[in-house]
Amino acid sequence: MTALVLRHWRRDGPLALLLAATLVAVGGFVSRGGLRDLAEATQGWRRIDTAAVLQRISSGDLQDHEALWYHVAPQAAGVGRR
Amino acid sequence: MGEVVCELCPKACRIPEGGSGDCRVRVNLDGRLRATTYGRPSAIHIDPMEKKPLFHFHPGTPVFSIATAGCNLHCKNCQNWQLSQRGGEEMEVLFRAYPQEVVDRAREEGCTSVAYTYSDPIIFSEYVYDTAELAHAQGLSNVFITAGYINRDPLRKLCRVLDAFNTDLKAFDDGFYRDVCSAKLKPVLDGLVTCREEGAWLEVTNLVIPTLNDDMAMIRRMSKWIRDELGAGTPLHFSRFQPMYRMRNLPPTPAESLTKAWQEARDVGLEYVYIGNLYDRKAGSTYCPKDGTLLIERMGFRVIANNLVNGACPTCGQTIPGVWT
Repeated sequence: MTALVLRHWRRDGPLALLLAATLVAVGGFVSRGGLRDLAEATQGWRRIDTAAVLQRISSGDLQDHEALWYHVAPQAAGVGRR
Repeated sequence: MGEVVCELCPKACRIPEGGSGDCRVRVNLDGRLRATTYGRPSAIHIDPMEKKPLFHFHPGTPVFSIATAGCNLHCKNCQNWQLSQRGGEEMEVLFRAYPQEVVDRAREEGCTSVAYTYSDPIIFSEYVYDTAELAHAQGLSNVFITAGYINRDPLRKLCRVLDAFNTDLKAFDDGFYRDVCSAKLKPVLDGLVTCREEGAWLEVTNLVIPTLNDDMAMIRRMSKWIRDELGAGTPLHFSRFQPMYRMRNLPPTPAESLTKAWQEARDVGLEYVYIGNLYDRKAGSTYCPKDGTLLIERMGFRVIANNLVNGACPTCGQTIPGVWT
């Protein structure tokens, strides 16, 4: 019986390990907010590298020209929702 | 300080501090929305007017063309994705060109128009408006090459300083807009009607993509809509798709599909229908809808002959819609 289990493990073990590693990777992605980032990209705003934007504004590469066509949102509303 | 809501396009992005709109270049800093690419184009070129394509607007003239990073659409087949699908902070090239410098440079280069193009100029509309106003004051025309995904009030304001539009009507199907472009069809149609109401010169482009929007019944419906809402004299350009960006799995549009689309639009009654991105001397030239006289002969983007006389057919005198002088 033990010999049979070992033979099966040798054959199916790598596949089982691959499945486990995939589950761990998906779990990590979800817990680190990967899904949230994806959702944001389709809900009307994007998380950007704000430090890089500010740095390039200070160096003159980009501008802090105030845009037209916007208003300040009411405070109670949830971030990222339209 | 807090979130802001952008009112420029139908996406109405609600942007928290430190975030950007879906376009990547309109950024909320300290509770105020900033147009970060104002005066910072990443592409500057001189193109022939025919490349826009605008076939009934100052034919054969050079156009000083500018674009910044960013876009409010995310078309899977975008041909300028390295420019349009990036924020300003991700660009290696950022020219410093304030509106007056753009106008001065355009004049120095002998251009009679400035084009706002390549990405979608809607997302840098403040820069467009200021540049176009100065360009007008110095005798230059302004052309706007766009997907037309913009709200009515900002569009009406832009129409005050823009002379011609080529609007990309990507398909006559809301599902296509949602799946391929992350947008909706209706605002684009509304924008086209607004352009017509405002009196700017308008041409329409439709990129024909195999299996996705090459259904001839849909092309017929689109052509009818253009005829009824914009007028039979509105030029329509069918353009050939090339595999790009996230849509490399489809082949280039067969010439036969473009010819069929051209024929459908002609049958519906559109008078000026063209084929682009494919060498077709006949479907790239302008003919009198009344007597068939060859009016403007083109080879690719080059005007070989312009036979119009005061904007009319030299044979029968039929007035041809467009801006010719």
